[in-house]
Amino acid sequence: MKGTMALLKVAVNNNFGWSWMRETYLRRKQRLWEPLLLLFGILVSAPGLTYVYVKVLNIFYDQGAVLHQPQIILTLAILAAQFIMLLFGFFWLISVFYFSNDLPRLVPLPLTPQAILGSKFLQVMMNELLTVLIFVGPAAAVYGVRSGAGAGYWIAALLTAFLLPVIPLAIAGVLTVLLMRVINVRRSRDLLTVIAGIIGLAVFIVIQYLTARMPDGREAEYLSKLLSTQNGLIEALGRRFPPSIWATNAMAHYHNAAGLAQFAVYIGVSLALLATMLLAAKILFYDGLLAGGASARKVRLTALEIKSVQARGAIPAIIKREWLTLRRTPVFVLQWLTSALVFPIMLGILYLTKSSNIPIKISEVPVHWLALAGAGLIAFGGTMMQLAPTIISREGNNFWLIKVIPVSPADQLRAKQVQIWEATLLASLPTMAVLGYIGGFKVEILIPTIVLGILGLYPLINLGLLLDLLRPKLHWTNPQQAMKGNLNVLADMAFGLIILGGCVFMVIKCFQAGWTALLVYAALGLLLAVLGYLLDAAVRRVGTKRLREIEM
Amino acid sequence: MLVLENLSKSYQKGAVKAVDALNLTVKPGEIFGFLGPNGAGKTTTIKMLVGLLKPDNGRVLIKDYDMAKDDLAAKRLIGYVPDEPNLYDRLTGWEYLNFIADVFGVGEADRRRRLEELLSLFELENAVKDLTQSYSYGMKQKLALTAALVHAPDFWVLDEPMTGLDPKSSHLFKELMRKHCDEGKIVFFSTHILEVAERLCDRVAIINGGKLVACGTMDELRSRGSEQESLESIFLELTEK
Repeated sequence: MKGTMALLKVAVNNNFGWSWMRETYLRRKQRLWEPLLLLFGILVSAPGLTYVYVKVLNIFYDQGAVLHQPQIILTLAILAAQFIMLLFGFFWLISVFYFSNDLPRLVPLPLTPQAILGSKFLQVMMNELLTVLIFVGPAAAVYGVRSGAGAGYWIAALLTAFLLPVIPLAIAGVLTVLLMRVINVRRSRDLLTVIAGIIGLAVFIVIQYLTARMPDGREAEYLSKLLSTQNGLIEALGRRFPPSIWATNAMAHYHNAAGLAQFAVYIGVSLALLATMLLAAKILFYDGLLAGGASARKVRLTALEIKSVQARGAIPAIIKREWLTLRRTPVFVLQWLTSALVFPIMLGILYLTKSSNIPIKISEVPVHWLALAGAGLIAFGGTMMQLAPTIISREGNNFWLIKVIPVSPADQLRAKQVQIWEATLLASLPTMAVLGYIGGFKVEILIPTIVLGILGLYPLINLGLLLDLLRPKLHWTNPQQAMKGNLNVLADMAFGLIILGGCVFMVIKCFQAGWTALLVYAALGLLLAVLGYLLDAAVRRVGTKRLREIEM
Repeated sequence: MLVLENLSKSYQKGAVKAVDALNLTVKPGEIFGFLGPNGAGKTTTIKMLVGLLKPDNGRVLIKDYDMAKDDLAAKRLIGYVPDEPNLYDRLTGWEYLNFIADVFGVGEADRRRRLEELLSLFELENAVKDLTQSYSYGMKQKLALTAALVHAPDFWVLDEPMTGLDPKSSHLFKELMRKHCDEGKIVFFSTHILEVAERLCDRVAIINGGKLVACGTMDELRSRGSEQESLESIFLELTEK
C-alpha cells in the first residue's frame, strides 16, 4: 500500500510537472514568460468561447423549461463530456497503459499491476477533469444560477463532476486491457494515433454539419424540435447511457430521496466499474504489456539497392529528411493534414448546407471581400499547421546532429524553410480549391486570393520560425509534446492573429478612405511582403546565431 | 594533430565548473583514451571538441582548423559518436546513413564501398531497411558508428563507443580503430572500461572534477608508482584524491 501511495504521489507530481515548475519558476525564476503567456492565451480565448457556449446553454435551458425539464442542459453537457472521455479516453488509456516511457522502470518494481495501472488511470482522470470543467462547468453554473439552487446543489454538483470521468474511463480501461490481451496493439502504435486523429476529424465534421444545419435566427425553434422529437432526443440518448441521467438527477434533485438514491447508484456503479478495471488489470495487464514491442521486418538490403544509391546535396538531403520525418510521425502529419482539411470542410459544409439560409448570398458579396477573406483563410490555415513554430523543437534529442554536420546554420535553415513552404503550399491547395469553387473560379477572385494568401504566409511562417529559434522545446519524450505542448505554437497563433487583425483593420480603413480594390490589394500585398522580408531577415540573422548558441 | 588548448566550460552561470583549463594534444597515429569518473567532464570535453558546446575559454584545433572559426572545415574531418545514440527514429537505417553521407558530401562510389563494408562488419544488412525506432540499443550504437565512419574521417571522436556492442562487434571495432591509427589518423575516445583503454590506447588522459590529473602512455603513468600497477589502480588512486 505504501508503494502504491508513493507511486500515485509521483504520478500526480509528474503529470502536472510540479517539481519542475517549482524548480524553474519559483527557485530559479526562469521562463516566467511561459505561465504569463498561458494566462494571456486563456484570457484571450476563454471569454469568447464561454460566452457562445453559455448562450447556447441558455437557449437549451429555456426550451427545457417549456418542457418542464430545464435540467436537460446538465444531461446534455454530461453526455457530451462523457462521450468525449469515452472515445478519446480509450486511445489515451492505450497510450499511457502500454506506451508510457516509465513502464520499463515501473514493471520491475515490487508493485502490483493494479497499482501501476491505477496510477496511470489517475493521471488520465486528472487531465479529463479539464474536459469536465469545460463542458459541465458552464452548464452546472447556468442551471444553478437560473434555477436559484441552494448550497446543497453546488456541493452535489462538485462531487458529481469530480466523479464524472470515472465511469467512461473505467469502461474504456476495461476495453483497453481486454483488447491488448487479444491483439498486439504495441506493434500498431502509429496506426492507433492515426485512427484517433481520423475519429477526431469525423467528430469535427459531424458537429460542423449539425451546427450548419441550425437555421439562423431560428435556433430556439430548431432546438425545441430536437428536444421534443421522439420524447426528446437527448433524453433518449441519455437513456442509452444512464450514468448521464443518474448524474443529472444527483445534481438537480439533490434535495430529495430520489435524487440521493440516484447519487448512490452513480457512486456505486463508478466504484464497481473501477474495481472491475483493476481486477482486469490484475489478471490481464502484464500479459498484454509484455506481449512484445515493435519488431523489425528483417528484410535484407539487396545488392541492387546498394548499387542504385544516389548522392544528393546537403540542402536537398535535409529537405528529404524533413519530409520523411513529417510524413512518418503521426502527430505531425495529423496536425498538418487536419489543418489542411478543416477550412475546406468547414467552408464546403457551410456553403452546401446553408446556402439557402444565410442572410447574404455569396453572389451578392463584393468580389474583393471574397478575395480578401479567402486570402486570410489561406494565411491562417498556414499558422494552424504548426510547422514553423516547431521547426527546431521537432528535432528533440536529434538536435545534436544539426550541430555536428558540416552544413552551415544558414543552409540548414534554408532547407527547413523550403520544406515548410512546400508543405504549407501543398496543404493550402484544398482551401484554394474550395474557395475557387465557392467563388465560381472567377479570375478576379482567385488570383488576389492566392497571391495575397501566399504573401500572408510569408510573415506568418517566418514569425513561427523566429519564435522557435529563440526558444526551442528540445526536451521531450513524445513528439506530441513538441507540437501540442509547445508554448511557441500558442505564441505564434496569438502573434499571427495580431498580424492578421492589423491587416483587417488596415483594409477596412483603406476602403473607408475610398481606395479601389486594386489599390487595397497592392497596399496589403506590399505590407505583407515588407513584413515578411523583415521577419525573414531576422530569421536568417537571429537563426544562424541561435543555431550556433543553442546547447543541449 | 588534435589540440585542446586551455579549454574551460562551466554551467549554471559559472557555479559548476565542468571543464577547467584543459590542455591536451593528440598526435597522428594515436589511439587516445579519455578516462574519468562519472561527472568528471569527459562528455562536456568531447561535446566542445565536436562543436556541440561552445567553450567559455580556450580553443579546439582539428588539424589546423579552429573549431570556433572554421567549424565546417573542422567538422568535415570528424566522425563523432555521442554518448547516447539518438538517431532519427522515423528514418530507416539506410535512409539515415544516406542522409549522413549526403551532408558530408560522400560520392556514390565511395558511399557504396564503405557502406557495404561497414554494414557487413557490424552485421546490419538485415536491419538497415527498418525504422531505427525498432532497433535495440546495441543496433543503434552500431548504426551510429557506421554513420560516423561513412565519410572516412581522419579524426574519430567517440563517447563510450563500446557501450551496447556485442563481443564480436566490439572486437572488430577495436581492430578497426587500430587500423585507422596505423594509417596515421586519430582516435579519441572516452571509456569506463579500463581494460580496453589499457590494452588499446597509445596514450590515456585521466580527468577528474574538470581538471586533467594525468596524461601519458601506460608506462609513463606506471612510473608514478609501482611498475606492476594496473590502470585501474592508477585510476582509483588519481581520482579518489
